[in-house]
Amino acid sequence: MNTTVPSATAELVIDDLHVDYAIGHRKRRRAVDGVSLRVPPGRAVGVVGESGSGKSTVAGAVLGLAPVSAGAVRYGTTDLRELGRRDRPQQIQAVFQDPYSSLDPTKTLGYTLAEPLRSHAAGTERGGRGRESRTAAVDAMLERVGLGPEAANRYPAQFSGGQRQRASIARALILRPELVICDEAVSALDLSVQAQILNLLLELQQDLGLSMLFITHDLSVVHHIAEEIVVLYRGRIMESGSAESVCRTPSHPYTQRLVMSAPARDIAVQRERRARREALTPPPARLSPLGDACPFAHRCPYAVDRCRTERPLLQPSPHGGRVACHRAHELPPWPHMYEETPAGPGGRQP
Amino acid sequence: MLRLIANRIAMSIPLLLLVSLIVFALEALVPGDAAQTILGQNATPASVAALSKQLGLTEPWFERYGHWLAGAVHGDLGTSIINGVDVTSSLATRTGVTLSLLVPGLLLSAVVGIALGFAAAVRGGLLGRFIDLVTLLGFALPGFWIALIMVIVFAVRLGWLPATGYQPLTEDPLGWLRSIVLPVIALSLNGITAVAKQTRDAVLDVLEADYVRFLRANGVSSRSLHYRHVLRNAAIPVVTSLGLIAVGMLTGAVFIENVFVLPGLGSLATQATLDHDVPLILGVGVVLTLAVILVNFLIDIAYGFLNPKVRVS
Amino acid sequence: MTAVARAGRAARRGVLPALVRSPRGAVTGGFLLLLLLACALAPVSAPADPLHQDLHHVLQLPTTGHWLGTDSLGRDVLSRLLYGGRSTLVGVAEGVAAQLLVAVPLGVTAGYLGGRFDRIVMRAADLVMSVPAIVILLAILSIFDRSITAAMITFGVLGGSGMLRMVRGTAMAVRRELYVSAAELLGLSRTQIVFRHILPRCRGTVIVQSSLFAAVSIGVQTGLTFIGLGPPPPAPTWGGMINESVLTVTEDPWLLAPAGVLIALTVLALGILGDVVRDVTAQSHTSSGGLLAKPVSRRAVPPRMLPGPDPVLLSLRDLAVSFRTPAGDAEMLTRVSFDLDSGQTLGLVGESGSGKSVTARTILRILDRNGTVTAGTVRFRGRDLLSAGQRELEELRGSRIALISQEPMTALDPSFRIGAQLREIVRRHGKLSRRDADRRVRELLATVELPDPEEIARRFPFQISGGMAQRVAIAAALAGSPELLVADEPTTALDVTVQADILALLRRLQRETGMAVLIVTHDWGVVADFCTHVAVMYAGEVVESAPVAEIFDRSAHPYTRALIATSPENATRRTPIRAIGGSVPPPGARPSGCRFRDRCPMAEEDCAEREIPMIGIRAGHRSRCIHTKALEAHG
Repeated sequence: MNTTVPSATAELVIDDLHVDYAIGHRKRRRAVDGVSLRVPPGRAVGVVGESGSGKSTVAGAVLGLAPVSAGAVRYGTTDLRELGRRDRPQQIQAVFQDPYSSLDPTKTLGYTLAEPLRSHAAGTERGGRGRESRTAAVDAMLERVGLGPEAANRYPAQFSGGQRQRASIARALILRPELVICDEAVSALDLSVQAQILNLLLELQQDLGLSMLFITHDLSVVHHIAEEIVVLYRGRIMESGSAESVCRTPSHPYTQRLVMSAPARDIAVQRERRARREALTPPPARLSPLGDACPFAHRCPYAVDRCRTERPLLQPSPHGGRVACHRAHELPPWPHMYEETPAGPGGRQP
Repeated sequence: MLRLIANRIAMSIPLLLLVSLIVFALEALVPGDAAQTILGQNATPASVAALSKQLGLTEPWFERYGHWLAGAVHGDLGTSIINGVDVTSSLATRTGVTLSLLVPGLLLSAVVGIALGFAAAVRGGLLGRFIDLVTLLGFALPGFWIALIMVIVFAVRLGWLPATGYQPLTEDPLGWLRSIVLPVIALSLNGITAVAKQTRDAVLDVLEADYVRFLRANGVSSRSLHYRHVLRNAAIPVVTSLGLIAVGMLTGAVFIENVFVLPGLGSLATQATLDHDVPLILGVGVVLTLAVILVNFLIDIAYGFLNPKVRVS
Repeated sequence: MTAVARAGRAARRGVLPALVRSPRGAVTGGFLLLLLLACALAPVSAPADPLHQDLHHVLQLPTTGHWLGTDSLGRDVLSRLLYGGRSTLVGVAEGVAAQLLVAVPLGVTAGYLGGRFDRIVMRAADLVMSVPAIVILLAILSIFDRSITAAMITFGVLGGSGMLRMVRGTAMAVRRELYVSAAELLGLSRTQIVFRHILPRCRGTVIVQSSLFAAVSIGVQTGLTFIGLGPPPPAPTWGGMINESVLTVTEDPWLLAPAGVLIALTVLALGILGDVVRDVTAQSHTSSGGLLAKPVSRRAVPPRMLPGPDPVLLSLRDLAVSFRTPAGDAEMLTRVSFDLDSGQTLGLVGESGSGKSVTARTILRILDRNGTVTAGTVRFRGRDLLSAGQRELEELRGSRIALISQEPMTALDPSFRIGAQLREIVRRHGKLSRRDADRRVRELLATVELPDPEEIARRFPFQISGGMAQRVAIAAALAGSPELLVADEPTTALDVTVQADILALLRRLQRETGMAVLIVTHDWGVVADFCTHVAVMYAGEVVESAPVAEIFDRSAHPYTRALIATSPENATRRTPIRAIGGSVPPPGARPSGCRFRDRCPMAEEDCAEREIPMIGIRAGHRSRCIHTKALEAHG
């Protein structure tokens, strides 16, 4: 078996991406509106957003599952936009959210893992030619994700949600990819299992030198696993920067609201978060139309007229990242909530 | 809603064309022709040729189709090749008989089928088991066989109802009713079964729906849940299935008319089939297709009424 | 074992073994096989020549020589049935084969490819579905000189739109499954995906539709031969035999029976076979499963307690609930006990499979049909809810105990406007005129901070967002001013910013009304935000209950501690989180003694020895752990 550690060499570049979906007759909805991001070789980049933010569409655009209307999606020198099915680079693989529909229930795990090795030229190259070397590759991969080779003979129905997600990760890695897209890969899992899978993903990313695009709605998950974070809202980037700075010192009022809304697992800290959130909640207003406005203007405690008439562009933020807010430099100082969590990083360990 | 109806109207014309075209094309593709069949195997080639020319069979089939179509648009469906009778007028007298079976049959299927299926799903227990058994029998027993049994029991042995024959509604309403009771019951048995099964599955689905649980938990009574919420929502898939059931019922009607010797379109078509009288079959096809279109049209309206997603969008 | 051998075994694992294992499947399948063999081997199996006339023995009832009697020409009925069955069964097979050839490739392709091809195919299928098949059949029989083969093939093609729709639906659903996307990313071709991953999933649908269609075609084939459009006499056909019996029916009705009953049995067998295949291929439980379930009953009914002076609001004692599943009874809850008093908020916390939602549903008696309470009590102000009658329950629900549930988008009936549904609930709780009820509905909608109550009341549930829908559901629950609100994961399906809004709303409403709240959640943040008390559930049991501050600061159960610690928030960035190994054991796989011991870092031998009781730690703090001292010393 080939033991060299694959390491990503190319960069994923998404530049001014626009994705439109048709809804009904002649109407179109813009799901992604001018998103640019990069995943440098070996880095883990997180995309965080709520429903309707377009985060999964960004993943879809990279994987050829969403229609790109404008903008560039490149991996190294390969343009990913209009590739035929057979021409998609096998260096990009994905782990999806639902562990139940991620595996074919009529096939054993062994079959599912061996299939790409068998049917693809790249598979022959990477997994070896013969039947034996394929089996060895499958068994080694099952071992690697913590399932053990005996799992190869069993069907998905015989596994728990967490084990299935391990199997999905094994399948994504079997062709030795360089970039793995994780689309809400831990969101459907129970708390105790989610931690196991996050640990596995992190370990694999670090050991194999994988690049990773990690899509999630959960700020604490993305803060833990990603080195850089992009915050999406209604199809646009609100803020981007290092995971530390985006979570601890959010520069955009929307990111701030996201941080304040996630309830802390500590009564005192949560009381404080809640009080702050209540103080910064404007009365409910109608959703403002997109277009030449800040998409968050209707819920923003700091919004001024300019926010409703002029689309804010990404500009350097006070904390080192980039932020799309007209008033980013006038906002009151932020009381480092993430750091203050006593049970949080650097805080008390139970 | 309007789009749904417009869609249905737009589809009815290709449907009529499709049915008639299939029949014409089939006839043209098959070796030998009607003239030979009419005159029998012993006829001289000369007489066959003469009859063919007389019947217009020497033209290419698509030209004949064109002629037929031109006539059909004006209500002229040609003439029977057996006895030269005008097809439109022989259809006119028989359509009423078949509709006397189909309309009550479909209504009976819908009403009784929904009632049975609903009761089986909601009550469960012994009644549910019994209804399951009845619907299973209705599914398994062929309609024409049931019809024969009913003739033996109710007409021959008990003498309650006539075994055969038809009285027009306009001449003798009571006679009409007596003449259609047995045929309609025999015809709707399979329909009732199909509707009951659909309803039962749909009601069980809706009973498990989140909103039924939610409304029940917040004080809505079982009565209102069942008769307002469950029935209404379960009716949506049932109503859509009625179109298919109506098409199946046409087949049943042909068999049933033969059992009861009713002078309807079914027995006309059977005779036409034995006589190789294609224009007549075609005429029956046009009328029955129109009936299907009408039923589907009514179903679309009912569907739009039941399903607010269609109505408001 | 090699991957290829494994693949081979995967392909063999199919519907058939499951079919044979089920009694209904074995009986009907056996009958059909027997019929098929007897008809195919008619020259051997039939006792006589079907055409041999014996005018001395006409119209006989069954005898030892003629098992099913003779007909009006003295021919043996059984032999005629067997020979006649050949044309019927061959006709049906031809019809089914024609249908499969047309509908399966088109259906799979349309479902998998979607787009324009799919639209065209479905348009055509709609069109064909409306064609009155009998007319085409008659035309075919007229033109092809009574060829049943031609008729049945035509019928197969015309009736194919049903199969096509079903196969296309299945293919479309499978196409949306994530493993198909994964296979595409791994470079498999479309053909490979269709043959390896889509077609195998359609197998169940195809078998079900085929057997149903076979049942229908038997009706049509026998009907056609009955009206004389099949092979001309004296050739035996099932329909023809019924037709012949009509002439002698007054003297000898017996002759109607053999062919009629055989047709019915065959149709029945095919129909049941279809149902069985549907049941064994469907993963969710099916409608017939619902009928088998017992109604909620109880094995041990303790005497009904009289309401004492100011009893506790809600009190659960040793509640046990079982679910009937295809694999046997599964005990979901055991020994669940807790109390909740007015003004308190109790968080019922646990992972999936812990039984927290089942507990909430049992309180309101809204378990699924296959759920049964097997032991314990649920008292509400001293009244035993488990023995309450239907009427009493209906009076309690909504007016004293109300519910909001996990999926706000499906909590309201999609067929009625929001206003109408709320009005119905409002009028349940007090005699109000329609106008007063509508005013009350607008008040309620305003109470839950919906911006435009008039407008919301006019909408249908599918016209509002999830957050709005949850507000409407809360309004519905508040309509009867309940003393207890059961909130079953009320924010799990919502975005985090919407969740915060809903929690703030619930907090305000609770402050204003003083109602108690039982909130089911898996999110410790929600607990920290909202609860005064906590009951932690694991594998069907309550393992710890305490006031909320005790749980966070001085938990006395290893599971609670591990679950709170296992968040990414509690770990240093990009380093391993302190995870709990393994997963929650399903019912049936739970270890004896302490159910957490397999995953517990502190487990000792004595944890397995006996059932662990709830042990008092401090006032109001109980834990199902016998090593709490060690745990406290540990930290």
